[in-house]
Amino acid sequence: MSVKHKKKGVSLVELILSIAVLSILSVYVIQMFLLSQKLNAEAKALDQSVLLSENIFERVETDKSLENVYKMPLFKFAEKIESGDVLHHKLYLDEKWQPVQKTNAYLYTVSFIAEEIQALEYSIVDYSILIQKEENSEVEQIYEIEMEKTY
Amino acid sequence: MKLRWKKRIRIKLVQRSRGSSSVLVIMIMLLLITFGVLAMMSSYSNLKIARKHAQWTQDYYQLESLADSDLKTFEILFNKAMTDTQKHFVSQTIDPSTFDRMPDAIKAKFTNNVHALEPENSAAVNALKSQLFLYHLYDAYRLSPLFENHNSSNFDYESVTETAKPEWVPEIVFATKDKATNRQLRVKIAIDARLADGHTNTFSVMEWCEVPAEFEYDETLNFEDPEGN
Repeated sequence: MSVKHKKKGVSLVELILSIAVLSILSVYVIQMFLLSQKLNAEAKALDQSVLLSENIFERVETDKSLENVYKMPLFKFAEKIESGDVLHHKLYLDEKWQPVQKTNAYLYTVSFIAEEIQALEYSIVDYSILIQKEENSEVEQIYEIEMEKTY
Repeated sequence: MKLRWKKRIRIKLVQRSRGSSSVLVIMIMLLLITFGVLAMMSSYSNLKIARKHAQWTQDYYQLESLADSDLKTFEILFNKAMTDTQKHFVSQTIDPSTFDRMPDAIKAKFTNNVHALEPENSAAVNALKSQLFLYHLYDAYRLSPLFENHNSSNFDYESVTETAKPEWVPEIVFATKDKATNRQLRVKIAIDARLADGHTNTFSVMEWCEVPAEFEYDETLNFEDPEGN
């Protein structure tokens, strides 16, 4: 009777072995899920950057004075730097892509630059947007786009 | 006899639990790996779509910049044609080379001094002004680099030289092409040709849209590693 019982069930060695195999292989599976999460976050940031750039450019197209651009909630805490023919705006955004002040914790920065590259018979202004992610003092470029307007 | 042995073996196999944990581990691992691969594939295609959209947007604004420059070229031609017309009417002289290129119908009107004989701002003089303006514009447009991208128009040599109906709105369509991406942006311009008393010529952009290109789905599966990953 007791011999029969010994043959049935899972032995301790088997249990330890399966846990070992499971934990070793789980490392790769977890890595796979983590990479998938990273790719998703990257895609989301890129999509958001494109949307933001399009919003700014569409407003630039309607008005040369950029008044419509400044009305955007995004430009609430914009930092303005003007030097010669170059007008530079720097925006600071948090992880939810909401504008924050420079002094607050921010994750993304948006540089909106308007530069007059020709001002003879007619003027040509070059607008560019550069979106970067700044995390743990590491700067990673997400998106860059450029457009020229002839006035 | 044989059947009895087979039955015994089957009962033994079913009753034994040895190796069941390994089977369970393999099953769990297979399940996890399957879900992991599926999640990876969906994230990767998500990123690929996002990158394609980002590139498409970059290229579109590049194309728009070119079209904007072309539109400015047209505006310069337009203003020049207007200035030339007014200049010819004020001084009543035309540059000989321009006069030589002129269609006979307009030439004849000038030779007959219609603008001097008729009262100022009469229908005949205004019609001649419009015709001369359109001719100048057509001549400048035809010789400009814009004409390389000329697509279609109801604004041609015949329509300019013939007496145009008052309701006729000359239209020019050109397609700006970005050679790097082969994408095209179609621009349709309607010209207000009336040069009546105190009336300044204008033009308006009626269409500003990208010409849809032929597109084919890539049916082959692509498992390339995305750039930078």
